[in-house]
Amino acid sequence: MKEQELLRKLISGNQSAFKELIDEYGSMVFNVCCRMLGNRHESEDITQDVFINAFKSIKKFRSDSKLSTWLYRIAVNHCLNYQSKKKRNRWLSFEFFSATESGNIPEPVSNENLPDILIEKKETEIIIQKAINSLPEQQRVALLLHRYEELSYEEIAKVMECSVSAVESRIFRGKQNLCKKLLPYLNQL
Amino acid sequence: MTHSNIKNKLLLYIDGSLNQTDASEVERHLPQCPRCKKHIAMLSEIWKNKPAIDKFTAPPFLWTRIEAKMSNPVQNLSSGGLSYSLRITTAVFILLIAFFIGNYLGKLPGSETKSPANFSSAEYITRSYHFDTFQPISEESIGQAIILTSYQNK
Ligand SMILES: [Zn+2]
Repeated sequence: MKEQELLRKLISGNQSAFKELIDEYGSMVFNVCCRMLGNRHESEDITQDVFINAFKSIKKFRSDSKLSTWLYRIAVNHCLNYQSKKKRNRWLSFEFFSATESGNIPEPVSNENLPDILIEKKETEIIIQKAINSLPEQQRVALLLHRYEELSYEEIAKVMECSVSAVESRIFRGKQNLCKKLLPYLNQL
Repeated sequence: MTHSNIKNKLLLYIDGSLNQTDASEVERHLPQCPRCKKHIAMLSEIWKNKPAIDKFTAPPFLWTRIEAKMSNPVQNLSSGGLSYSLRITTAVFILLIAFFIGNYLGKLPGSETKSPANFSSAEYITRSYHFDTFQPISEESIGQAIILTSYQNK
């Protein structure tokens, strides 16, 4: 009910409803941007753009899905566009040849420090997230939404505008590839 | 399934995403393979017992910033920065300039790298008298050049 009311106000162009939308979903959008971009400053910028886009296209919103799903979709698309634009710009400015891929897993640390690694869960979580970010786009998005946003396969399918079986297959292949990427790490432990 | 088939499915096994047949194969393999056994323990540790995942809170003054951005949109990377097509045009333009400069420098006298002995007589004449930089060349001047060259070669 609350969402319907908010939506009605948003469509009528009510300014305070936009503020309410940001208060309600600001953290959610910011979180998914942080997960996808791995950079706080860029995520702040993209979060703003996501809401600006949402305000401009609120009339296109189909009320058969949830506002959160719709915002997730805008956020994911914005992040993907931003990343491909950034990649192109980096190539054109010749940084491409010197910079390393942000999604790459960092080199494993030396063996002396290893016992601490598994205890240090945050550190391993960073490794997992970096490994996820180095996966092919569709698998990466599906896995991020599944693991960090804890969305159901049905919700992910709505965000990614695909079938539930496509989500299942992306997550399945994603986990398989993730395992491949993590094993060399585990071998160092 | 062999070790190499099984090792990449360990995460799926932990997560319960494997079908019954594959899961049983993994279960049969594990007691015989110390490496997979070690990996599965580690993967469970890092995958299943995920730490309370930090949730970020929205940046402060988000609404104020959005309001400002909507009333005064500025160019940044997220909205394109120096546009892609402009960058492409600039890159092509630079390449063209470089090509013409290179072409011009290549034609300057003294920039020859080929020894005269390797030139055909016509090429030698054209290059010696820089006929390639002038056009059109009359038959007379070519004739004169041939006479001059044969005189010099004597
Ligand atoms: Zn094995």
